[in-house]
Amino acid sequence: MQQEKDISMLILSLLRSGDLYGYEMMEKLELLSNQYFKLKAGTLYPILHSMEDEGFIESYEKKADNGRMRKYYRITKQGDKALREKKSEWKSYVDMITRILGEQVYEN
Amino acid sequence: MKIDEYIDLVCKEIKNKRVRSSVSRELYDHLNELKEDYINQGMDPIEAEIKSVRDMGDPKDTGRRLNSIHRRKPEWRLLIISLTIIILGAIFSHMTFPNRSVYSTITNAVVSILVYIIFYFLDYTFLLKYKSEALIAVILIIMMPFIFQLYQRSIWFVLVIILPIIALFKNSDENNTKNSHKESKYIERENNTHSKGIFDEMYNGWARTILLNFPQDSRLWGIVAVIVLISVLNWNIGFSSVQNVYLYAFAFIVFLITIQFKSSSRITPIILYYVFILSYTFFFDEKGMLTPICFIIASTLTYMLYRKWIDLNKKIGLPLIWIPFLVLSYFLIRDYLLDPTGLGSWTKSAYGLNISGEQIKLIIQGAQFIGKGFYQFNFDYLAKEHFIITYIIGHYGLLSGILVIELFLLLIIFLVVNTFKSKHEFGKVISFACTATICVEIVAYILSNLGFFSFPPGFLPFFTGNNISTVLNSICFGLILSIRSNRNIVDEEKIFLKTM
Repeated sequence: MQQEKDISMLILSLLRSGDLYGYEMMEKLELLSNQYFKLKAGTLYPILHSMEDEGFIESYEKKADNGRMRKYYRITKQGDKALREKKSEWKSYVDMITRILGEQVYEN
Repeated sequence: MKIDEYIDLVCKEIKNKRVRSSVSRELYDHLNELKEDYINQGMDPIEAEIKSVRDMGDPKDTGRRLNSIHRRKPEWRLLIISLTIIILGAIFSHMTFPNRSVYSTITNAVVSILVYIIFYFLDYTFLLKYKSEALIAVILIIMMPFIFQLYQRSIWFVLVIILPIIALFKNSDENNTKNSHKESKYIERENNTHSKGIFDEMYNGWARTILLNFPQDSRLWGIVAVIVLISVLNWNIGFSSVQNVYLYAFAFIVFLITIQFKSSSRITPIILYYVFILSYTFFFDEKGMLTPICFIIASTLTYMLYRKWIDLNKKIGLPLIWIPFLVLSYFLIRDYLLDPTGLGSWTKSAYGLNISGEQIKLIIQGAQFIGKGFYQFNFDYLAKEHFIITYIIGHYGLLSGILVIELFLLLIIFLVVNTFKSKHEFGKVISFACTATICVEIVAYILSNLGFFSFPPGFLPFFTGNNISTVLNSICFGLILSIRSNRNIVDEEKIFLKTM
């Protein structure tokens, strides 16, 4: 569950730089995380659809180069706001962990 | 496992059949791209297909998760507040109108809830699927004031006359362009520059529906529904009544939205809007009375302009849309300044209301916080219908009036927030039109009840009103709720493709 929330945050972050479709998103995620986030597509689409339901992203269909209709996703204002909040939460969390770990290292 | 088998397994888990096609399109596209990538890496096609399906994970699990997202999700807040208003309205109207029989109050509440439930469960995309029927219904409603001025109450006469006229426009070319537009409606709207005349398209649709599909098709039910709806609306009041202004506004908006699928002309909606306003201005003596109608239509057109439903530059579109409203507002303000104590001659002459604008102001000024006010006025039946909030304030005190107003303001806030949360393009515009109709109706009613201006003698949804107002509001509520709860189920894109 927590991992899905993290993935949602990463998806929002990816969509800030432009509209993407599912397959493209997976490729970028793998590339940027040095293969750490090797998502199964069966996991990605339920996450995308539920993010759309929550209003963080919206989808539209556009003709792809191969002539087929392709479903693209873009970030909404609500999604952008949620991403900023998540980022600041993440930063506080990382700061706190670093501080604790730093002190322990000093004590040892 | 092959790609098709994988998609079938996923879709089997999704209970709502309408969702399956959009999910399968998306998964199919993904799997094909993955397969092509593997082939480019040197795999043979069969192996590439098997590997790409394996990469997707467990189809049953994916299907189950998608199913939990794509199901009807009722908007409880709106559902509760609207049902509260219907029930409170029934109780209140029973207390306030002792002459009205319990039977009539209960019938009104039951009709409201029934129409509400029917439209709620109907799935709003029926307006797309049966747009020809929708067009017939709304055109009949829009024409009512003119027809009924000549033939009072003869609804059957209208049907007998109008249906053959429509039939005259029967187009023999049955295999017309219905299936030739395979592109998305959105894309088509951006690119399309050629168009048939709007009336050619309209008559084509009507004639086809009535003369060819009518006997064999389930569309029969569409026509039956239209006739039943109009008969219900005509229950106890003539269509020429000015009290139906909101019905005309709503019908006209539905007409505009539906007609958009038959025409790609850039300014068709604006031209029709001018024709509508000018003909009604000609029909109704009191021009100012049309201001709320004009506001509902202008705001919906503005929304359509911003959502790119009307392909027109905003700098030209916005003034074009709002000029009629400004002109009508001038009449409204002029009427008010000429006679600030009156309520507009239409209320006095047409309805014989026993209350004046001056008396309304005295009631409000003399109101106590709780209990009867200092200025007592004997409200007759009609005065209560059109000034129920003034009556509540004068009879039960300011607190009761504020509570009722707050209930409706809360409803307005929920409705507006809900509209902007809508997911699909068509749903958004229909939701906006319904919200605009209900909100303007409520705001105009509250303002006139507090002594500001003299808006058309309207009704407070579900608290007062005739059958037309009850049915109209129930339809609006039902549609709004249907749009919201079906947000993860409907596939508008697929319907656009089918109906093009």
